[in-house]
Amino acid sequence: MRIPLHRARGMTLAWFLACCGVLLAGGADASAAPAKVHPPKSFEVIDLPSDDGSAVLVVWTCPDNDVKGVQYAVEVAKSEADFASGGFKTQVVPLSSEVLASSKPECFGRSVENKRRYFAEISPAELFPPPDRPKLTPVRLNELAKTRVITAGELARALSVLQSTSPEAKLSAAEKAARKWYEDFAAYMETKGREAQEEQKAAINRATYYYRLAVLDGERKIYVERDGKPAIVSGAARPNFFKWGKLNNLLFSLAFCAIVFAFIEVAKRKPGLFIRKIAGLDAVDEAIGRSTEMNRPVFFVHGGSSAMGDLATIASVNILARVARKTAEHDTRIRVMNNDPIVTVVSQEVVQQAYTMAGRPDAYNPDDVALVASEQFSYVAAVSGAMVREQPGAIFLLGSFFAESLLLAETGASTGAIQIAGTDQYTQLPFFITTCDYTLIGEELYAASAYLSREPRQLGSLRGQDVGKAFLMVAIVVIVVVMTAAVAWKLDFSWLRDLLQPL
Amino acid sequence: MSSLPLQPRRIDLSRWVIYGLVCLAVLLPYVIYVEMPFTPSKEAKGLYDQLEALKKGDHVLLAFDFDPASQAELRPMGRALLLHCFRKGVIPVVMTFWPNGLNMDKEIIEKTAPEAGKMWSREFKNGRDYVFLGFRPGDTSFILLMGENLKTAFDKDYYQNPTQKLPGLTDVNTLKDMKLVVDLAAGATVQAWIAWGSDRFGFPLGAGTTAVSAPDMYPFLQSRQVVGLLGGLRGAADYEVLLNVNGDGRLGMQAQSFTHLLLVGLILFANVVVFIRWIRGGKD
Amino acid sequence: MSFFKRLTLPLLIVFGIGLLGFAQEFVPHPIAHDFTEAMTTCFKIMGGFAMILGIYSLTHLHVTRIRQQGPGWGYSMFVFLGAGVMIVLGVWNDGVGPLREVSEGKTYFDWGYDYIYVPCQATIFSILAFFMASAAFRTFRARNVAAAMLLIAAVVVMFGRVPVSETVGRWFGTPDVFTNATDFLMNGPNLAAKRGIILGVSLGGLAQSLRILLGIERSYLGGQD
Repeated sequence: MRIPLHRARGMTLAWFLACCGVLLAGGADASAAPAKVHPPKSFEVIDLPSDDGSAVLVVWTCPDNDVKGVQYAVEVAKSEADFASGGFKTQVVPLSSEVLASSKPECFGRSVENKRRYFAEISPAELFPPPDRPKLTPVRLNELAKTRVITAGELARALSVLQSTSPEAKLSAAEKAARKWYEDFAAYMETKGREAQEEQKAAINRATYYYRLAVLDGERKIYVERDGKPAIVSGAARPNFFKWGKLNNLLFSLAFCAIVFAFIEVAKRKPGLFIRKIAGLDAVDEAIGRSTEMNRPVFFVHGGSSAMGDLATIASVNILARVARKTAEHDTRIRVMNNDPIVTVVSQEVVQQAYTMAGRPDAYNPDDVALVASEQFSYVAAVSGAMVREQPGAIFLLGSFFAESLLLAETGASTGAIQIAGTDQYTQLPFFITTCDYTLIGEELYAASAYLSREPRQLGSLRGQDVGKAFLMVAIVVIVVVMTAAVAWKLDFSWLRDLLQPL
Repeated sequence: MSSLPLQPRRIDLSRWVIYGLVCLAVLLPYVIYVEMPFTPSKEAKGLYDQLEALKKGDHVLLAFDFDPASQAELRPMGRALLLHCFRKGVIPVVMTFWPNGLNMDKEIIEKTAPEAGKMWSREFKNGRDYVFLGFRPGDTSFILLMGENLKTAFDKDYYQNPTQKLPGLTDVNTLKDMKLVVDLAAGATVQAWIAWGSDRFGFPLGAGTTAVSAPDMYPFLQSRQVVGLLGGLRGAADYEVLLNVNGDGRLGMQAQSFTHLLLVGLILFANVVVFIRWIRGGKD
Repeated sequence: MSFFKRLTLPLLIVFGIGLLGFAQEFVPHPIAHDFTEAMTTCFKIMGGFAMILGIYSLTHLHVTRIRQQGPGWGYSMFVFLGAGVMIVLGVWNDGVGPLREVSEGKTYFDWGYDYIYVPCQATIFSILAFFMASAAFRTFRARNVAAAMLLIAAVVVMFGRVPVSETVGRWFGTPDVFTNATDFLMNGPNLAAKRGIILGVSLGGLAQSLRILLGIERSYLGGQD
C-alpha cells in the first residue's frame, strides 16, 4: 500500500526530530554525568630534605584517570584520635605544575615517574601556631614581678605608666622618664617573646604528626584508604645536615682543592715552576728605586672601602710586606694610607716586622702607617692632599677600590709619580689602566705574594689554580658545542642542562 | 740625608682647559634649555612594570643604601620610586644599611610625601601610607633576620614608634610579605640582597646603582635575579619619563648630554691631531 | 709550650674558623645558622674595639703634626675642629645643641650634616667628572688597532648613553641606532670580558683562601712567610 506523499514527509520529519531529540538528550545526559574522581592508591610522608627541620612533604602518585582541575586536601592532626574528634587542620592543594615532583629535582631526583607524582609541603608550625605572645597587662606584670624578671619598684613604675592617661605635654620629667623606660621594657619583652615563639615553632615543627590525604569531589572528600578506612600516615620533620642541592658546588670545590694540593706537592719536588711575567710586580723594585733616587716617599694606598676580610686587602698586605722591606733597606720613607682600623693595625704590624727584618727597627715610625679617615671620600680628600703636598716618587694603589679609584689615580698621575695599581673590582680596572703605569688585573693581585716570594708551595698553588681554570675553559667550550648541536639537531641533552643548573 | 728642593710643578694647561670646558658644559643647560626626548631603557621599564603591576595596599621595601656622595645619581631614583608608590597606593617601607645616609633618606621621604600629596590631592601619612624604618648595621645577617621576622629586626621605626602598632605594617611580618624590594646601592649591597634575600625568600628584587656599577648588574638581569635596573642618572631620568614627572634626573640629562658631546669632541679632536701629525711624518 | 708559639695558635684559629665557615655554607641545620650569627656578632664586637685603636692612631698622627708644626699641620687642626664641633652638636642635649633648634624642627647637628657634610661629600665625588674628562682625553688615542677599537667602543657608548644620541639619530631616521649599539657592546663583549675576569678572580680567590687556611700565606699575621 502506498503511503501518501504528505504523510511520508511527515513521518520522515517526525523520525528526524525524534532522532535529534534522542541525540541531544543523550549528549545532555553525557555532559551532566559527573566524571569519576579516584583517590590515589597510597601516599607517603617524608622529611623535606636539605632544610632546617621546618617542613615535611606529603607525596602521592596521580591515578591514571585524574580529572583536570582536581584538588587534594591534606589533613594534619597531633594524634590519630584527633581525626575522629575533628581536631585536625586541612591544607588544600590545587594540582599545578608547581606541586609536581619533577619541579623539585633536589628533593625527588630526576626519575620519569616524578612527572606523575605530586607533593604538598606542610609546615606544622603554620597549621598549629604557638600561642600569641602575652601582652603586658597588670596581671602579666605582677607575674613578672613574682618571678623576679622585674623588681617591685619597676612594677610600680610600669603600673603607673599603664594607668596614666595624661598627654605627653602635661607629664613631668619623672613621668616622661618612666614612660620612656616602659617603652624600652615593652620592646625588650617583645623581642624576648618573639625569640621564645621561634623556639616554640621549632619544637612544633619537629614533633610527630598524623596525616590523611583526600581528593575533593565538590564538597565531598574521598580519602585514600587502607583496609577499608582512611589511611593515616605519621611523619616528623628533622633538621638535615647537608644541602644536597649544593653537592655539585662542594664536589667542584673539593676537586679544585685536590688539584691545588697536587701541584703544591709537585712544586715541592720540582722547585722553579714557570710563571709568566707580571709587569706590575716586576716594576715594584723600579718604583722604589726611583723614589729613593728622587728622595721622595713611597705611598702605599689601601682601597677606600677595604676591610680585612676582603681577599684583595689580604693580597695587598702581602705586597706591603715586600715593599716595606725594600724601602727599609733603601732608607726610603714609606707612608701607608689606611681607612679601616683593623687594616691599620695589621699594616702597622707588617711594616714594623719588615723594618725589623731589614735590620732597621729604629727607622719605623708608626705615624707613617696611620688611619687616615674611615669615610670613603674623606679618605680620598686626605690622601689626595697628602699626595699633592708630599709629591711621592711612587704610589701603590692596591686593594678593593670603588668610586675613589679614579680620584686617587688621577691625583697621583698629576704629581708625576710612578703608579702601580691592582684591584679585583672589575668596574674600576678601566680607570686604573688609563691613569696608572702598571695595573694588576684581578687574580694577578692575588698571585702577587707567590710571584714576589717565588716560594715553591705558593707557586704550586698558582699552577693548580691555572689548571682548574683550564678545565673550566675546556668544559665551557665542550658544553657550548654540545648544547648548540642539541638545538641544531634536536638531540636530548636535558640531563646535561639539569646537571649544570643550580639545584 | 737632606732632601732635594721641590721642583716647581709644570702647570699642565691642557688639563685646566679641559676642566674649564667641562664646567661650562655642565652649567650651560641651566642657561640654554634644549628639548631632548628619549626612550626609557628596557631595564628601567622592567622595574617600572613590576611596580606598576602591584595593587593598592601592597608593600614595597626600598633600601636606600647610599650616602651623600652618591646622592646626585641615586636620590632622584629614590624620589621617583616613592612617587610611583604613592601614585599606586602601594606602601613604601624605607630602610638603609648606610648610617651616613640616614638624615638624607629622612629628608627624601619627608619632602616627597607632601609633594606627592599635592600632585594627587591626597595626604600621605607616616606610619600609615609610608614607613621609615631607619638604619640598622649588618648587611647579610640583617637581611636574614628581616627575612625571618621583620618586626624583630626593626622593633621601632625611625621615629621610635613600635612597628607592631604601625598600620602601614599590619600585614607584613617577613620579607616574603614584600611584593617587591628595590635596593638603591652605592656599594655592593645588591649582591647581598640577591644572595641572602631574593634567592632565599623568593621576592622580586630591583636595583638602582651608580652608572659605574651598573655593568655589574647585567649578569643578574640576564638570569632574572634582578627584575629591573636603574643605572646612574640616566636610569633615574628613564623612570621619571615613565612616571611622567619632572625631576633632577631629566634635568641632569641636559648636562650629561652636553658633557658627553664635549668629551667625544675632545677625543676626536685629539685623534685628528695625532692623525695629521702621522700623515706629515711627525712624532706623536 | 710550643703550642703557643707566636704563629701556631693564630694559624690553628684561622684553619678551624675557616673550615667551619666553609662547612656552614652546606649545612642547613639550625646549628650552622647559630654559628654564623655568633661569628657575625664577634666581628662586630672586634670592629668596635678596633675602632678605638684607629681613633688613637689618627689622633696621635695629627697631634704630633700640630706639635711639631709639620707640613700641613693646619689641616690637622681642622681634623679636630670638625670632629669636635660635630661631636658636641650631636651629643649636647640629644643633638639640639646649646641654642634653640635652627628651623622647622631641625637641630644644629642636622644643620651641620645638611650644609657641611653633604656638600663636602658630593663635591669630592663631583671631581670625578673633571678627572674622567682629562683621563679620557689623555687615553683614547688610536695608536694601534686595539686602541682604535677601544676608542670607537668608548665613543659609541658615551654617545649612546645620553638623550642627544636619539635626537641625532632622528635626523638620520634611526633614533635607536646608538642605543642599540651601546646595548650590544654592554651586553655582549663587555659582559663576556667581565665574566672571564670574574671566573679568574673567583678561582684566584679560592686558591688564595686555601693558601691562607693552610698557613702557606702568612704575611697578614705580620710574620715572615
